[in-house]
Amino acid sequence: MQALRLKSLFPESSFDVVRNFGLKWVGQLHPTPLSATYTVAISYRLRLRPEVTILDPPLVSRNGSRSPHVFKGEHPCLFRFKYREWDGAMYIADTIVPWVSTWLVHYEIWLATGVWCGSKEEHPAGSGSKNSSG
Amino acid sequence: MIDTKAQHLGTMFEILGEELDVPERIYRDMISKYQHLGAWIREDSKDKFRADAEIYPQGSVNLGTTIPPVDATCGYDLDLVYRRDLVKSGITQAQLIEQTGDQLRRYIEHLEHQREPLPELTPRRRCWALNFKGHFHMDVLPAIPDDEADVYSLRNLGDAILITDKERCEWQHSNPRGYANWFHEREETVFAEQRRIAAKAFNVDVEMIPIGRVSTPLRRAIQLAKRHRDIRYTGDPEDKPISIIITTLAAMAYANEADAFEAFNNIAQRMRDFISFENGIWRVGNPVNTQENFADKWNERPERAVRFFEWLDALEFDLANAQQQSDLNQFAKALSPAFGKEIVERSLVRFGRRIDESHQKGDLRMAAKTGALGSSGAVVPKNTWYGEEQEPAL
Repeated sequence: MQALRLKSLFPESSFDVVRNFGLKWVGQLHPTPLSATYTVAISYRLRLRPEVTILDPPLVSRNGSRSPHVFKGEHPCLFRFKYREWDGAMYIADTIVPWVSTWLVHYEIWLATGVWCGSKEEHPAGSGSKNSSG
Repeated sequence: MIDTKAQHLGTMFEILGEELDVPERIYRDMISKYQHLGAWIREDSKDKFRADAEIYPQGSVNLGTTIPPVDATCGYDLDLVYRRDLVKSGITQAQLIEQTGDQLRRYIEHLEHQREPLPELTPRRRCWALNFKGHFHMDVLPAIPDDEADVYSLRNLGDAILITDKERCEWQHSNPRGYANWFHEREETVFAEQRRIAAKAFNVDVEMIPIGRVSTPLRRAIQLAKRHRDIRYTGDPEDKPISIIITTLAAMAYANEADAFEAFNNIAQRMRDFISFENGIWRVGNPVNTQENFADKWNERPERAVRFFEWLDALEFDLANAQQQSDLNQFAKALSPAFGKEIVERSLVRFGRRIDESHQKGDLRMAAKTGALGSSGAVVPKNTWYGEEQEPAL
């Protein structure tokens, strides 16, 4: 179902079924007319967090700092399970994909300015300083 | 709106232009200080000179094309005409300058009695400057009515004035109200609509929005062009293109474009068409005064003409270059040297916050096939950008 929905919204994208009932979608996103066009992969296994990878152009750092809101391995962090913002019953094409597009705009602005403009959750006070932009 | 590249560029340049506006707090302070001075001077002139006098703003504040100085410590400019109801045969230029200076000194004494902040008074070539430290300065231009205006003036004959000039023996003709009137005619189609939008945003009557506080694509283009000039000639004021030439050529070149970038880009390309060079004479005519040539200095110093065309070429190049960038980061990097890194970055952050605001309100949509954000497609659901650590699945 996820694959069909992705394919219907992005007819030119491709997907593979991988081991253990997994799905890997590869498509192109052009978030705004002044943004780059990104080739994006989304890997999904039932019940697990869909893993997003920006294949091309690759994510870059800014003055040595990596982008905020990425997991280890440079996967954009797009939502919180804790707030029930996403579960497997929701279409990836209608949630994860638009969040990736929005993330990419914020990422480009962050690259230019060092400021993440999306509303974010602040870490609780005293929970550490190094990753406090997370 | 960012659905098309043209709309996106329009949005980016509109926001960039907003960064150049006089902040509300400073604008209110400027207006209240000008009104205070005006009221005091009217009373003082009645007492001392038994004559009527009038003070009114002219120049960029009146046209809505003011920009901040590149060096923030210099403050904004507010140009005022101080017109006294005298005939030319009754006073000399030197007397008018001296009397105005005395009067402004009395005004400062008055402020001292009132325990108000004191401006510093300095003489300039054509005016007296009252410098309110760090915020702005008011240039007070002494003037008398021009009784011979019908010879050359094309409009607002009653508002034509004679002004002093320390470098010339003759009184100089001027007509700032006539010029403002011409300028507003050039933008009036778009202006009424913009003023209505501003009134709606502040929830007040249209008349409550001062003419100088309305933004129009023409005003934005002029602000941005002047900023581009200031950045290009930072630390090198000699021979830099003057604001009145930029403003006049831009208003002539404006063709009622409703979009800030389209207006700016078209104006940058067309401005040169309104400069004439005949019989070895450069000319940018004052549209309300047949005898005034804003480019007369170009004929004394031809480098000025060269500089002007160099600047126009650079502006055209920078605007073309901005359109060819591959992403928003490159876009910002292309604009920074042309308009100043700080305001370019601030404008980009405000753009990002706008995107986020419409995301939070449920107005942001994503189009199928391209993943383009904007006004078409399905609503982007709310989410939380969070963390570096992998959150366990439920």
